[in-house]
Amino acid sequence: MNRGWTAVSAGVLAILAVYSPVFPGLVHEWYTFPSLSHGFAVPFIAAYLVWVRRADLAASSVAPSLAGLPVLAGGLVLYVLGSLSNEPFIARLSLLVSLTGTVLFLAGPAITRRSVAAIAYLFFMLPLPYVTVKGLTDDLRILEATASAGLLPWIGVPVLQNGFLLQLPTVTLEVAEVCSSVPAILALLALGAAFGYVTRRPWTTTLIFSIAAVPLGLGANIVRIVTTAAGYHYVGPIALNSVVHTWHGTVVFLLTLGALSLLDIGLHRLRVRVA
Amino acid sequence: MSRLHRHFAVVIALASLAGLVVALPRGHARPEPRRTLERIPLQLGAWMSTPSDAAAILPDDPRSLESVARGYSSGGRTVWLAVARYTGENGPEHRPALDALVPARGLSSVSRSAVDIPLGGGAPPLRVTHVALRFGDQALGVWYWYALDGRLIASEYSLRFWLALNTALRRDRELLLVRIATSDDDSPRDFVRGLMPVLARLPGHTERN
Repeated sequence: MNRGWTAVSAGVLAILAVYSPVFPGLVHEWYTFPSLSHGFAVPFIAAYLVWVRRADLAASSVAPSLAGLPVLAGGLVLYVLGSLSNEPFIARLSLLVSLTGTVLFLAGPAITRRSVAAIAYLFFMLPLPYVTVKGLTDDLRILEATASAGLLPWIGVPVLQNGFLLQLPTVTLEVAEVCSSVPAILALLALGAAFGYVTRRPWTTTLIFSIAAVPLGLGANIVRIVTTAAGYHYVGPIALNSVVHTWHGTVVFLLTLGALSLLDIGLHRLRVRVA
Repeated sequence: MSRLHRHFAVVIALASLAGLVVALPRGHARPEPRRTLERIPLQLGAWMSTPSDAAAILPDDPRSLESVARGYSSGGRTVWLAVARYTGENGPEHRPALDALVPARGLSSVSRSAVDIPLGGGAPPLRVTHVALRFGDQALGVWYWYALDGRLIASEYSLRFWLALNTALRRDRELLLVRIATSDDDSPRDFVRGLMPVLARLPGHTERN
C-alpha cells in the first residue's frame, strides 16, 4: 500500500472516529428490533463490495480533488445539525455524505466512482424515522388485509374483512402492526441490492432487484397471512404457533429471496431472447 | 507539503471541529414544574364537564409533564378533551408518543387526514390532524394539533422540524398537545370555538417574547 492509500485510510478512520457517538444507538436499535437486525450484516456487505473491486481500486491512482471539500463540509454540517437537534436519522445519514466527501477529497473521482456503491449500501443499515414507518404501516396493513381477504375464498376459506380484521367462521384474526411488511422494507431493499451484486448482474438489473424487492416482500407477506389464516381454518389454532406465523420476518425474507430468484431467471430469459 | 497532505490536514481539521462541537456539553432549559392545565374550566360555552374515564378514550402519555383528560357534554352530545404539556425538546424520550395519540386496542381500521375546523368570527380555520378510527361497528374521530411558541402544528413532520429547531437553539419553549374525540361524524367545531380562548392563555399556544 503506498502513502496515498495510507492517507485516504487514515482520513476515513478519522471520520468514523468523529461519528463514534452515533454507533452505540444504532447498534442498540439493530439489537432491539428484529426488523432492523439486518443492520449488523450491512457494514460487512459494504466491505465486501469494496473487496470485490480491490483490483480496480489498486489500479487507480490517488488524485485528490477539491470537489470533495463541499461534500465533506456539507456532511459534517449535517452531522452537527442532526446531533444538536437530537435527530439521529439526519446525523446517521450524514455519515454517508461525509464518507463520500472524504474519499473524493483525498482519493479523487476515479476511486470515488469505484467505492460509492459500497458507501451508498450503508444506507440500508439506517433505521427509518418511526413517524415514516408508522404512517406507511397503517396504509399497508389495510392493503395486506384486503388482498388476503380477496385470496382466501379461492382456497375455500370464507372470510369477512373489517379493516385490519379478518373474520373467519371460528375466529377473528388481526393483521397487526408487527405482521406488516413495512418494518422490513429496508431489509428487503438491502436484500435486492445485495442479490444483484452477489449474482454479478448489470447495474440496471441490480436496480430492478432493489425496487422489485419491496412489492415482492409485500406479496410474500400476503402469502404468509393467507397461509396462516388457511392453516387456522383447516388445521386449527396450532397454525398461529407455526413457523409461518411466529417467524414472520424469516419467512418473508426467504419467500422474497425465492421471488427474486424467479425474477432473475425471467430477466435472464428475456435478455437471451432479445439478444 | 504535497497536495494530498494538505487535503488530509483539512479533513483532520474539519473532523476535529465537528467532533468538538458535537461533544460540547449541552443542556435544555427545563420548564418550571408548575401546573397550568387546571386552568381549563369545567364549563366551555354550552359544554359542561361530566364524570367519564376520558383517559380510556384518549390515552395518557407518560412522557408529558402534565396532562388533563375530561369528558364534556352538551345537548346529548359528548366530546372528550385531553391536553398535555411537554418540554419542547426533540428526541424519542421527550416527544409525544405516536402510539399514545389514539386508542389502539381492538382497532379495525384507521385513516389519517389533515382537515380545517372553521372557527368563525373572521378567524382563520384551525388546521388539525383527523384520525378516523373504527372498532368493529363503532366509529371514533380524534382531532389533534400541537402548539409550540404560538405556532399551531398539524403535521408530524412539521412538529419534528420545529422541535429540532427548538432543541438546536436550546430554547425552553413548551409544547402543548390538544386532542378532542367524539363518536359523531361531525367535527366538534362549536366545542373548539369555546376552547380556543382558554388555550390561548396556556404556554405553547401563546408566543413568548
